Amino acid sequence: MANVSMNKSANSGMMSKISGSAVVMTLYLLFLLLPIYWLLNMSLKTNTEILNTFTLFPQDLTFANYATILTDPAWYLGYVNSIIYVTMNTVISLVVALPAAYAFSRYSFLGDKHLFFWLLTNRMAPPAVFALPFFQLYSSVGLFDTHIAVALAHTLFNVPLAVWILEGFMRGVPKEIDETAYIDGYSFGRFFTRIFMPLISSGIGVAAFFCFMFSWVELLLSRTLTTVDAKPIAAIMTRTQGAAGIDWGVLAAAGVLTIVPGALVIYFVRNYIAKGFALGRV
Amino acid sequence: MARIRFENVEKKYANGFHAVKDLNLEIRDKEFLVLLGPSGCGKSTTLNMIAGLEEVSDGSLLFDDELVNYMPPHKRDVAMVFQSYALYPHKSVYDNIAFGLQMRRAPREETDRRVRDAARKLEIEHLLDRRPSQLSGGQRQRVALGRAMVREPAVFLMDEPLSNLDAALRISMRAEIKELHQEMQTTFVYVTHDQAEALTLADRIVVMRDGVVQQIGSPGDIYERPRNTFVASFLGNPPINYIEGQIKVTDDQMVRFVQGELELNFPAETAAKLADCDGLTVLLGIRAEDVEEGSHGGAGAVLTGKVNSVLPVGSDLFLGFELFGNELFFRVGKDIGHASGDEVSLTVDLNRLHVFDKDSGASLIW
Repeated sequence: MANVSMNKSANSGMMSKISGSAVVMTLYLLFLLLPIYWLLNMSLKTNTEILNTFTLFPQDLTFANYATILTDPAWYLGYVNSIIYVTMNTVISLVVALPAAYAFSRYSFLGDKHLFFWLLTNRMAPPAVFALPFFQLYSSVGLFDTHIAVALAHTLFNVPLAVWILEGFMRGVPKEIDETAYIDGYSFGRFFTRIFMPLISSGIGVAAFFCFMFSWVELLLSRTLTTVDAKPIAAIMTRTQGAAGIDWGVLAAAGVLTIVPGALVIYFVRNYIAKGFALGRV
Repeated sequence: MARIRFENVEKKYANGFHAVKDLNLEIRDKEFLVLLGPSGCGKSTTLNMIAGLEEVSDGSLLFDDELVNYMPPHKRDVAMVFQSYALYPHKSVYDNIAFGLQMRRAPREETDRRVRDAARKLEIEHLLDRRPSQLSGGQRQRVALGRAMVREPAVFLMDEPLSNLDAALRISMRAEIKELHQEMQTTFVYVTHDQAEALTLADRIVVMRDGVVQQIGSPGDIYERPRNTFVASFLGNPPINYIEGQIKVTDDQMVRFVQGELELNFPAETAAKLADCDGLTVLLGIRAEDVEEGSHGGAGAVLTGKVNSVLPVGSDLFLGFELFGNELFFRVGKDIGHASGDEVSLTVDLNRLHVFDKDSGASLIW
């Protein structure tokens, strides 16, 4: 009898342990996913349903909101603009950061440590601080409302981050690799592109990911520096109030579509990121 | 064919560190030269200057009488093997080995033949398709050797190539490197801090300290006739014993080492060199293996003292020995039946004593 009850209590202890962690996990996931689910839910409803009833599932399923976005240039060009300047920014940031990080990892020069730290302090200032000077400067040189304007503005934040990340990866590559390549007859350029960059590819992946993410979600600078031609999707979303009030359904659909590229990027680079977190400085 | 000559070579780094000071050295064709010294002594810097990875600050570096101070590494016809192997992790073993040849635009068949040839010699044929990360340390080192071999360079440079391997593998690789040198008939320059490696491999050893060459000579020469206390201490296991004392020249021209109650008479040959050192404070050097157990006279002097410690090392025994307050370490046969605390007599071979000036450390009998 005592045995049985012991077993029973042990079992129930086990059960409560399992269900305990399961409950916490479920609650946590619910908490995280609820807003996203609600966004998706709204995007598939009509405006009437959104405003008049509270439903957990769309009663009157519609794809009209998505159709609006994908057919109206005013909407879909926002995505195109965002993707253009984000890609430009990522490429520029990496092209600038790679040689800089190499110099920091391989050479010692006057003030290198201070400079390296100073790079990071660039990220301490909020983007809003730079909005006004960028606005004035770009207006005066005719860069206002262009993709490159936003891309360049974002490099101010992304280059330091990329240098910081890449330097950690480069330091992990022994200097002898460089020296062997020189003895083998590689020029610096060929060594860098053929040997060195493949060696730190996961670092480049991680750096590119962070550049992409910052640039994709940054709203203030991109909205300030654009009006029509290079207007990003996030800015368009904040200006949807028409004569008939806010078009909730379309706005929700735009939100869903904004999450998609980020999710895709994360999906494709997830292995690099995992490796990068293990190896690098991130 | 490659002779390398350093003439008054200096190496100073931008941060002011003076790594190599007034180096004069001729490395002969087909010679196996070992640069030996503790870390930071300038041996790797010297090697890097030969490779062209470090610039010569002052003086001339000549390959076969041609000045190469400013020649880029790939034009010098050298190959280098590093301690960290420096294999390209994203390339297969085959590509790693073939790489230097491909860079030199060697014909494909020729490259293939040489790679397979080298792989056969190094017994890594079955590994050619693998990535470096799938290999053990010893295998990686062989790949690194193979990569250098296929180039058939005029000079083979090695920077502590065996330091990352375990002890057993290190010894077998040592033998292989020596074989490789005989087979390849090229000049080898080898950097190490391991005295045993230097003694086994070298035709000549260069002992360095703080950027200054201490002694150049054959392994036997360096070991038997060290020029100063640094060289004497650096080679030998357990290290050489020193006893501080005075030289005393007696009226009948006998030369004697005196320390308290300890008195030793030098044999005639040594005595002649020390004749005018009367009263000088010296360090008497006794190599750990230059003693024999027992007191059977001959050319030797008998030392009687107390055993402090007995450390068996398999083939031999290290004996901690106290002699008039000096702690000495000797290497004796393992069948010596002594325990700590025993009184024991050892016979020192007087012909093999070393005498160094205490202040300068220079040998007085060199």
